[in-house]
Amino acid sequence: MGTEGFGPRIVELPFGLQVTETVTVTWWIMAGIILLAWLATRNLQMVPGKRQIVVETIVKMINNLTKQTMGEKNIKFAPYIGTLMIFLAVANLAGLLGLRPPTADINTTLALALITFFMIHSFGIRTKGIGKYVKGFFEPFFLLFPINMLGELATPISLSFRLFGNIVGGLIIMSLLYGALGGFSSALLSLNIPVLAVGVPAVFHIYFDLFSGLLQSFIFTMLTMVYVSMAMD
Amino acid sequence: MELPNLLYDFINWLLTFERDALILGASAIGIGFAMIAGIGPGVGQGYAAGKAAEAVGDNLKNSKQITMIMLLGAAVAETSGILALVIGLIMLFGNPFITMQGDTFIIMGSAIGAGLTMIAGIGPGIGQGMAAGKAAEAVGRSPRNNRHITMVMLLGQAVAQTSGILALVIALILMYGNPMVTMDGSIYVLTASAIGAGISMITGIGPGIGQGYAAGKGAEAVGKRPKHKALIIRTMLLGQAVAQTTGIYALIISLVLMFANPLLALV
Repeated sequence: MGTEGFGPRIVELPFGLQVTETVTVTWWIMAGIILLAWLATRNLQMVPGKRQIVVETIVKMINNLTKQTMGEKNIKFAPYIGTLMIFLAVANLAGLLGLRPPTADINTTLALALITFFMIHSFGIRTKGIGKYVKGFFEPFFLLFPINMLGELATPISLSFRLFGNIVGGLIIMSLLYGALGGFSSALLSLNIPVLAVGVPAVFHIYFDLFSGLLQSFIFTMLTMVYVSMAMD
Repeated sequence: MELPNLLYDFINWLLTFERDALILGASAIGIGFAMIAGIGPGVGQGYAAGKAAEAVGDNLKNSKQITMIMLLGAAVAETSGILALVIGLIMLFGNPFITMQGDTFIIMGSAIGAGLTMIAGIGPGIGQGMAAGKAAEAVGRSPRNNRHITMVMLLGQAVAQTSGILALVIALILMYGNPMVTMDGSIYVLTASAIGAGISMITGIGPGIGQGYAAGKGAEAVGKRPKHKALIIRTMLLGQAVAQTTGIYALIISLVLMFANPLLALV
């Protein structure tokens, strides 16, 4: 997508490297999650302390969700599902810290959706066998092959653009709102400090960042689980 | 042969204006078209509110849970309206067409087409609202299954959003990766193709409403028998995938019109 207008800024790194803001914010998020995971799993006890109880609750919740959605036998997916959910939740909430959410870049969401796409097909082939997998494209009858094919290709597109569209939509509306509030405060109160931008955007942050962000990370993970487990039987 | 002359006069009249004025004018029409998507969330959220009011009347003690799920579902149903608003705001405050290189008429067609695609948002809006209403009804009957009902409603609504998302993809291609403005060929065919690519995506209304209906019925079924949740979700998603078919036809036609237009070879 266009780097002008509402696209991510280009960041200059040493050694003449150029990366977008998306990449640097993703690095921060990765570092944060790795640090938290290391702190949380240090010094585990048989009788859990406060910190360990919180961590165990989160792990148990993710395990239960995976078991309920994908079936008892597919519990091995829980680590990936948990990682995906935590990364997406933190990434979508990055807007609250004034960072640009990495998920407001189609490259991030499409990469994640392609992982789901390859999971659907590789696990489908592995559990069903290549013959039954290919036969699935010719059902309910052979003329529907092109439609089935395109339907499969539409999955990663809709998966990635659902997340991208929601997050980038919120981002654009929020940046226009901050700009407008700054303009109002200098026009009405003739101040160069955007005083009106205090407090007013909070309501919009609750909808666009908290509600929409957390909901979209849940939906992306749920759809990944449902599609992969559907392909497997 | 009066009609061709009329068209010719119209084009000549348009050519008397400045390039920027023409593109901005077409963008204004496009913005207006995009906002028609608001019909969807309006109808859908109204349906959800009505169903919720009915459910509260029947089960007074569950009113809190019913209101919660109604608000949650209605907030999701707002999505396509917000996406249309975003496209409108981009064209108002960060218009990409004005800086685009290429023929004025094709850019004008693209601006109108980008607005027309967003009309597809009517479907997801109505459908997701229907899902929210059915879910509110189900929660009113069996508040114990609140969690299962919410989950199925959200999943179904997410799938019902698909055609709105595909419309957004076409609008973004027209705005930021437009292949037609630099294409060789008849300007009139390319301009009409840009508008046609937008009109084709309006099909998304159908899949949106249909998938939303499926989501509502899924939520209702899970409310009655939560232990069959996995099977209900599977059937719902399979049916929704079939209901997406015509929307995918529309997407193919849009993409063909933009990237591999066979009509250009005929002129």
